[in-house]
Amino acid sequence: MMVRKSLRLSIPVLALIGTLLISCAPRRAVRYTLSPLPQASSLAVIVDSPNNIKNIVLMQFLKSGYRVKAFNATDFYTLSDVYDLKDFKRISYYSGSDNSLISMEKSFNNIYKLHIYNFELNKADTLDEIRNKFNVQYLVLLDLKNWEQVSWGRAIDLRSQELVWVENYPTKYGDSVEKVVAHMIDSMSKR
Amino acid sequence: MKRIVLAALLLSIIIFDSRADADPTMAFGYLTNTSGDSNYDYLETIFPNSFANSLRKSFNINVLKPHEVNRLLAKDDCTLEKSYKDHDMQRLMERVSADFFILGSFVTLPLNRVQITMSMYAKGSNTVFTFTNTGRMETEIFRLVDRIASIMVNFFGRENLYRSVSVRPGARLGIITNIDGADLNDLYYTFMLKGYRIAGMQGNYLKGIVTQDEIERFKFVSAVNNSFDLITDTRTFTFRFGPWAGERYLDRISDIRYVYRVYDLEYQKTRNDVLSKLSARFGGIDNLLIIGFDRGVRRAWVRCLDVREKDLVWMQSNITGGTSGEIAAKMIERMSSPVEE
Repeated sequence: MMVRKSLRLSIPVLALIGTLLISCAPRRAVRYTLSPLPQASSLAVIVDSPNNIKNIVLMQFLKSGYRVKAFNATDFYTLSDVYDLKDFKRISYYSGSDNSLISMEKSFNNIYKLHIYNFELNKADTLDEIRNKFNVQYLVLLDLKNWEQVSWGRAIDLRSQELVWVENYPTKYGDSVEKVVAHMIDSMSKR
Repeated sequence: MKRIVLAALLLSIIIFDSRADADPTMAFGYLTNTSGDSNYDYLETIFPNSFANSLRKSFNINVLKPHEVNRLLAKDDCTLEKSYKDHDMQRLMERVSADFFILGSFVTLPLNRVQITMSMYAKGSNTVFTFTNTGRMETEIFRLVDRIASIMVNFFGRENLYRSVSVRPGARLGIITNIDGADLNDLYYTFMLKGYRIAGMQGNYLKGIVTQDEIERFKFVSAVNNSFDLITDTRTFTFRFGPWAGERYLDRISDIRYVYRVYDLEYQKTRNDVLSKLSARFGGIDNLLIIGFDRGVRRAWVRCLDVREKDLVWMQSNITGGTSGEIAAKMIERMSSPVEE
């Protein structure tokens, strides 16, 4: 009887622990290089970090022989490129009866979808400008995270607009910015 | 959003929940002969009766064949029409107490082929799923009927599956989704590992801009042959004019008309223009995958557009997995497998 009772108690506890373990499980490390980024190729590095950290990141790329273009902004969009859909929706809701609003639902959805498609087109145009003005061949995006989180990187060949490298790197205890960036550079420069 | 949830409940729970008090009712309308050759009129009831029999074998459902629907409508001095506007279907379903209604049309093609277009409605969902399938008239007519019945069974199944072509490794994909960062990388990685080429769209930015609520809007795809779309009730639009209608009022009406025309009535054209530009800008995209994940990234749905044909070629819901990569692996397994001819 006691055994049964303890078993009854332990099942929910084990289930809870299992759930916690699953939800806390670190994301897996993944890496794929379609084509390595050759040394001396010109890069635009996008990293969302304070300037002192950004300098460390750029320094690592320079040390590795890449030509890092002076493209240091963390956001390459101007406000005029961003269409504020929420405002438009509010205006639309303001002008119509309830029935009309239901009928306009499809239009609202479609406007949003077109907004996303056009946003991608705007970004592609901007990246083309970057490629031409700065003579950049690769766009490298890095997101550096603390221990127990996943740092990630991605590279896009701006000539073909194709993804050529991805990596998820679970940051280890004792990793420094230099170490993680050096790992990423090594990863993107080889198959 | 509420309508999508309602549709999902109707499709997945009503049909399969054996504890439900009553089996759902699926009504069939005519399959209208639009070929102009009255020699084929006899198929207008043969086709729906065949589909009805096939579906009855697969699900615990009550089936209403066209003549039974007609008999029910006769109580209200009405007859079953050969075709209906989408927005008329909810009222029709109420009249015959149906949970689902299926109707369509067919046209004969050269070389003794027939093209069948089916539209499926679920009560309270305000959506319509339409698909087209082509087969040979005499030699393969039973295969065609089975194939179409199978499409219906899959669509009414847990995964709301529809697939018309196989998307094999080597295809160049554009992906729009509501995940970003490491989750998005895991998704990309899985596709790249299997040999798919990924256009740099969305992945060219550090943060995603599409939220979980917003990606739901992409569930609806309007296309030439295969669509899953919201129904607009045009009768609710009333543009009143009178001596009180000043310039500002007329301007506003004009704006609403414009929005309605461009983003609803002619949306396919508007969207197709943008898709062509998008494909050209990203070096030629074969397929646009729209993948919506739940908040925990444990479950996803997908819509796949053939960018050249501008058609919906694959839709599926309830794809589960522990990570975005696991979900992507299941997607690849499905999308790359052959489609029954």
